[in-house]
Amino acid sequence: MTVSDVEITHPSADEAVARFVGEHDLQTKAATSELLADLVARFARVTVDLRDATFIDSSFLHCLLVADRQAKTDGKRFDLLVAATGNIRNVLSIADLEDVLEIVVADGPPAAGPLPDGFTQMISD
Amino acid sequence: MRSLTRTYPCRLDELSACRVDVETWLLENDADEETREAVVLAAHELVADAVTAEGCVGVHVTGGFLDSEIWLEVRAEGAWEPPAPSYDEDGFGIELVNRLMDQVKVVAGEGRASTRVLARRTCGPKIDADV
Repeated sequence: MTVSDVEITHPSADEAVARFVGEHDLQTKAATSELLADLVARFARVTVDLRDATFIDSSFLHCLLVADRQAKTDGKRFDLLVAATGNIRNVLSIADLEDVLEIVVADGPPAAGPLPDGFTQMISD
Repeated sequence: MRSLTRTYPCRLDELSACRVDVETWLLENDADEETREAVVLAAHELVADAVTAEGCVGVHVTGGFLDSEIWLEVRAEGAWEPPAPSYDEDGFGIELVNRLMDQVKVVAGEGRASTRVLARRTCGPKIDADV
């Protein structure tokens, strides 16, 4: 996984936001898994921002589930930030994960859109 | 209606090319957006599973239209055995394919296995995702 595919920001000392851009599939699974495990281990709150992601597959969903499970076990918070429409939301829906993972829906367009309440200060430029 | 015929080497970096090929084919045949997303992801999941199978020597993807239905076939020689659908790691992909398509059938070959997965989907928005 190249640096340009994922951007990590830290809105506060115990929070991390991982902004995934572009396509994320089996080819990047190992890196994604390692990254999310590391973030969950180090931070009390981890947000995965998928508004700029254009494709995810079952291997990426599996990474999310594993990280979410670890966060819950450790008493931490693991959220997804997704656009209101688009194929990423559709994949989460058809996989029946909308009730499993903590999903925050952003009404605006990816990246340039307004963030939901509580996320305004989370993603820094 | 034009059909799709492609063969991919057993490499993960071919998955992106596969997605582009399938989406281009669907666009050329005026498939709607929801159908395109579903069939592209289904093809990706099947090819991803096949290219990582032990002994993979190549993965063949064919697709076609029959009336309002799309047919997709992914075939691979070697030891490809698509896992049973489940939310465990190995079966997550085929579970997604089951949900994305209306019908999925695995046909195992004999001897030097040539496994085929046939998937069918009616064009247009999918009303029942639990088929």
